[in-house]
Amino acid sequence: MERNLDVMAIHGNGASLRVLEQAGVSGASLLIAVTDLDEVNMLSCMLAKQAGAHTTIARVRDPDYDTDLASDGTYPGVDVTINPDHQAAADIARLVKNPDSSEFDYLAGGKVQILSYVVEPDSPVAHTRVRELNIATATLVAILRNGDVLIPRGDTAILPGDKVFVVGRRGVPSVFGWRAGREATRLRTVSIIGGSSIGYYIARAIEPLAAHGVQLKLFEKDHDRCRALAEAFPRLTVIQGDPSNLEVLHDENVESSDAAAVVGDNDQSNLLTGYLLKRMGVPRVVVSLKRTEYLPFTGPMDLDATVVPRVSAAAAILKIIRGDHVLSLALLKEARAEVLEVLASEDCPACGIPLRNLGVPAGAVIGVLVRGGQVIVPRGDTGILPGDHVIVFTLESAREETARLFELR
Amino acid sequence: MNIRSVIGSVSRIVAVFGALMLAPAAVSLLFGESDWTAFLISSIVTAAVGVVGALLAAPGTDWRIGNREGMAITTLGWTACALFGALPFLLAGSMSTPADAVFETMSGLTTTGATILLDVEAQSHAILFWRSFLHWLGGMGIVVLSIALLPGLQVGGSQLFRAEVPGPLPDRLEPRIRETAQRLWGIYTLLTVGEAVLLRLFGMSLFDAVTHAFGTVATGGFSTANKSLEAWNSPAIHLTVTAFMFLAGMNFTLHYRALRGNFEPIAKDDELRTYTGIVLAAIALISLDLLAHSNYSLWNTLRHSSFQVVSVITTTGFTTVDYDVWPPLSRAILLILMFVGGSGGSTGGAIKVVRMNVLAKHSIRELKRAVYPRRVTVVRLNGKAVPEEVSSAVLAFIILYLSVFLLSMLAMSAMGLDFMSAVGAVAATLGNIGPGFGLVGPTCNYSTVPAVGKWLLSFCMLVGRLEVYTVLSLLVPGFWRRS
Repeated sequence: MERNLDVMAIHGNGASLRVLEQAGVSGASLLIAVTDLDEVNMLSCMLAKQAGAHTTIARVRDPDYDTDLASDGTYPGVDVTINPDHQAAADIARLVKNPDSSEFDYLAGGKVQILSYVVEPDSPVAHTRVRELNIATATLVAILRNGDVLIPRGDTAILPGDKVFVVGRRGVPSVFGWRAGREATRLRTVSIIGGSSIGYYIARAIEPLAAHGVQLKLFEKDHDRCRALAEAFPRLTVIQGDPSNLEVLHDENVESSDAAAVVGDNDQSNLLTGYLLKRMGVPRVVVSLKRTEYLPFTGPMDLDATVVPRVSAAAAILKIIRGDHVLSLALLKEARAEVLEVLASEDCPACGIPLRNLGVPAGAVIGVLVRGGQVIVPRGDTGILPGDHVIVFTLESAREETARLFELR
Repeated sequence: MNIRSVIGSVSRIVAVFGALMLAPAAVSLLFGESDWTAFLISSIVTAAVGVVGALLAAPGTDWRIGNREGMAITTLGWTACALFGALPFLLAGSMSTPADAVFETMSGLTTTGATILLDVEAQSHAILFWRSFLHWLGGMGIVVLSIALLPGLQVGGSQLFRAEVPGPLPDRLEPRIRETAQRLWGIYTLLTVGEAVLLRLFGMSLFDAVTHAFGTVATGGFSTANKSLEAWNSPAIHLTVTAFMFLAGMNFTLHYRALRGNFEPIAKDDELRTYTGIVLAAIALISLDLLAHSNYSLWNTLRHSSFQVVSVITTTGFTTVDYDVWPPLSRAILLILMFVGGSGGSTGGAIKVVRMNVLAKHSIRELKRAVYPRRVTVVRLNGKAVPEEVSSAVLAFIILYLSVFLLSMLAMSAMGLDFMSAVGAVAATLGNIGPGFGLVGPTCNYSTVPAVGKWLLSFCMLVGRLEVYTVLSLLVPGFWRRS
């Protein structure tokens, strides 16, 4: 470990009080417990908290230990429980539920939305320059082209196949969405391919849709798992069959789904199934991958989104590490870019200066400000005031410089 | 098979049962009748046999009661009580043959209410009380009563409890089985007292009120009058009995929750909804049929149809009218209700509504599976998944129940009963209802059935009360093998 990473390694049982003290846990500002055993993680958090650690994070994967995120319930001594599969499922469920966007996150308590669109060749915005776009209600913050993230400038041209990211008041960017060439579709059928823990959490997140007439299908090979899912979710149609078997998919008419989440245990078969579904004509296909190596090659497969549980969990952990000024944080791709939501403090160095004079680094864009509940799309003469929520889009290379503007840790 | 623990436990149940025979002896003395000696002698003999049996089996006994011991104790305990309970009838001279006396006792204990007595009103108060008291003891169950009263039985109590309490999924109300048994008996007593008070208020004598309350809450059906409830031409009494029969046909767990102030599970209970639905639908259909084909007034139509529907579905067997002269559709509906029965965990008999629920849902599921063979669906009851083992146990139960019915019906036909009487007699005894159709209809009784038929029907009553498995498993090869 010490050879590969710049860390101090202590060999021992993380749930042992002696080992924790040896690691100096009493003065630690953060303890992250991510062993394979949920119980060990929770126990070491509880011990560390008692010994004086400031913040504790435990990875907890078993749904039995799952605390309801909505009620903010958690175990004593464990400040945050992170469940990679749950995080990933939450991301996928959001992608599935909002047919207008590819990857997005709600910021500032739901007032602000980040949306992304793929620019189709026949879209009216294809081959136009950014300054020619007339969007008063949102800010274009990034373009993903051939796997690279670009920060748009006035003379940047938008090309077909680009994925563009916009930040704006919730609801408004769909106007832009229409202009980008994608029409909203109403969900009628959603298919989940794979019934392991991500599949379970997705089913849990989107089952309420069934009350609105959406048909939910889940495909899983293992009979016992099918039975468990059918027991847990009365409204879910559980289909026992190997999803890599085309006959199974055809029999259940999977090609007429409006959205599909491919979340099996095997990355290769997920990619293949995702690709097949896309070819069969499923409008939205989201694929989960365990590892990040394949991500650069998924572009030509035309998948609408890929989610990696580890990255989803990392985003959640980073948000806590960044401290109290960062309210929410969304990671794009493999952390090559982030969207930060920052609360401008009283003594923030950026306050009071018009944006054009602020010297925002080249790799960052200020998306929108939220002031007193109002979403403001900033212009060159807008200034940041203390108390504003600032939505900043930044590349990894510009993160340090951006952080200095807002005095982030 | 732990024979010693079976003998020991059965003996304890018999001893308790012997002590309970003192109650009718007291009634006899109270009314200044002479047959108290018959009850006293029976009580002493029964209690003595029980105590001696318990002492013989007791020393150094391993009291473990497993699944098989539980079923053996329950079946043998009931059989023993039916035999000893017949003693007073024979000693007091109200019945002359063992077949008659055992039939009557079994009919009482299993809450069937089928009688061989030609003239009920000619019997002494003690005999009438004993018949109704047998109902009351058998309604909640003599084994459950023994668990509630006696220490030492609760170790294997849950096995015994499961063997006796009706329904595929008995609920535990309290963590300890003995407390559960006590709670159930508490609710049961409360309902009985409540009904007796109401019946007394509406004009019955105290004796009639108590005996009919016993017969209602246990869903038994023995009356102290030859014409059953028809003898009291009082709408208030008929409505009270209808209401309490309905309550007795509900799952007692729901009563327990209601007494705790927890009404939510009651409002959402699948079985209660089905039970209520079946009752209302049957009343509506029979009322329409009666209005079209008979000359009752609208009020009397509703009064008799609701009384008869509730009486038959809860397997009580009281009558306010001779339903055997009703039009064919009404009689067909009543025959079907004889198979439906009360709710699981109630004092009612027959197949039980909850099993009908599972059967219907399971069948629909299989039908859908024919269309979508790959889909995995779960049979749910009250939102909870019913395990596959329970579903298949329910299906097997219904098949076994119907097999016993068909075979017994064949046997009764062989004894010379006409078709409708044979069907009615077996359906009414297997389902613990009481009066059937034809020769054994409401205005007639079982005295004309040949002695062999009485033994067979007594067996049917036991099989029905202990829900088939408990009794029939004793016939499985290997049941009696050691360990």
